[in-house]
Amino acid sequence: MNCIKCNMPLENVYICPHCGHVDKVAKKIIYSSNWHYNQGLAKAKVRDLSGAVTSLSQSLKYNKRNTDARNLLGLIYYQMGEIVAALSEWVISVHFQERNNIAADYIQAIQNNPAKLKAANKVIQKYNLALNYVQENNADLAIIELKRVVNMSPTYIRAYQLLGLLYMQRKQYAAARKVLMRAVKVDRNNMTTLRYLKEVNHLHGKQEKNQHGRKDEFMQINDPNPIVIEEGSGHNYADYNTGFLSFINILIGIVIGAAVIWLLIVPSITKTKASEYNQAVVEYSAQISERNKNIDDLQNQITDLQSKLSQYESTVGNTVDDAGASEQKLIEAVGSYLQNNVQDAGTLIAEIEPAAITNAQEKKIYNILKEATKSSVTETLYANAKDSFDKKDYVAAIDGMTKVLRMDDSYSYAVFYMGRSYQMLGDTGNAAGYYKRLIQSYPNSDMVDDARKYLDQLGDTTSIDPVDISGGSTSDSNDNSEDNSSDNSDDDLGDNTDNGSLDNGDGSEE
Amino acid sequence: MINFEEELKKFKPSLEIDQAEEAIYKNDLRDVTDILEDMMKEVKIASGNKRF
Repeated sequence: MNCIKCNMPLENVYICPHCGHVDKVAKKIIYSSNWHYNQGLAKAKVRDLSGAVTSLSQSLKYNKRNTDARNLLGLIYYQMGEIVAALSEWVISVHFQERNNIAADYIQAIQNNPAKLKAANKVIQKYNLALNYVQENNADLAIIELKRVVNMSPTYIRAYQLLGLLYMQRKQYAAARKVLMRAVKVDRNNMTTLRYLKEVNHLHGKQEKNQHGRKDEFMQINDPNPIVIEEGSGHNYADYNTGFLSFINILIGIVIGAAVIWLLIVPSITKTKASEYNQAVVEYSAQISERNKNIDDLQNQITDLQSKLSQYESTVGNTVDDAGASEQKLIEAVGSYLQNNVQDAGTLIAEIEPAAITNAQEKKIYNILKEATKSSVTETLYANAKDSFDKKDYVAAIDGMTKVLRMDDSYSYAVFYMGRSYQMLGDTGNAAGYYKRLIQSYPNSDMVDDARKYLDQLGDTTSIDPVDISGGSTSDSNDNSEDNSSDNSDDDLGDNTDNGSLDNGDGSEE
Repeated sequence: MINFEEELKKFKPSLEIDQAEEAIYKNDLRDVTDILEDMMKEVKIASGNKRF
């Protein structure tokens, strides 16, 4: 527009800088533009961004060179997430006023931060992608993309509006209302947002009324896709389906799974292992016990064998010793007898254990000498033994009476005193055996009554058999035993020295 | 009651950064002053035609 006086151009002024003419039309235009700018500024201050955009656009329609209005419009576009629109306004603003224009600083700030510019472009791309999903009737993917968009750019009004509309279409009114309320916080008088919000309130109220029979507006319902609006410094939008929450849920699931395994499966495995271990221990213990038992058995066998061996060796040694001693005594007896020393010969014969003589010739000699000397030595041996008994030397008495019986096994007095000596030594078995032998073999003896009396004193002796006293004769001397049943009733118990009444073994009385 | 299909159609894709130059060129920068100048030119032309 040029001055009507001097035809000089009037750019953003109504007073001609050349001639000073005041152009009334230009003045009205500039005033109108400024008035709308002031309206837009006032609306922007109360976050009526849509109203501010309308007023500022109106201001620029009056005066396209109103730099302040254009710069503010760019800022408001930037605030609403419309980066390209903001850049456009600032570029045009710089075009009209190259100097002293803050829009150049805005452009410079954006150009100096390419990462932010790239992020803003990515937000736009995601929004466009979501819009494509909507056109392809793929609302689920569109919602996912729009959630990302509003997270990245929390003031992107169009994204909020589209997201709210999609929620409304899916009858998720609570979520739609939250999204739209967020948009209202950014832009209070956005007509589209308010219209959607009113619709949500209407539909939500209906739904509440249908469900609860009363009209409670905006009561929280069980939203299948709940939304959390973060009120932190970033003013980011988020809901429970974000990647971080998914990661947390997976982590919690892993922890719970590990706990279940630890509490249920591990004890079972441990118990099984313990059971197997115990079973193995029992089996090994049984094997060890069996081995120990076998070892004990073998040790016992070794001990028995050693005992038997030692016993055998002892027996053999004793037998050899006895045999040697008996043979020596037999030789000495033969010598004494040949020297007519019958008493000594008989005494030596009496000392010989008949069983120790194994040689047949020696047995024969033994029997000959025994027959030849017994009449001479029996009474003497008896007297000596009786003397030992009287002196209470019962061991010597038993030894002496044994010699007597070797020489004459029918000597009933010797049998009696054998029983008495054993009784005095406390050997009830041998005592009873000799008493019973006396009673059985010599019923007519004077000692029978006494034997019965002493036998009764011994108590119950029914299980004891009479002692065999025929051992004094060797197997080839049958003639020694043929008179065992001879009657010794004439023996005088009170006079041991009286040998006239004694049976000498061959049935004759001396 | 809003028509969701119609409302969804109202949403247009946003311009990306590399489309900014195109947006600037397409911007309608005519203001009231330009309109007045055009009107005055038309008036002048009309008056010039009457003189001839």
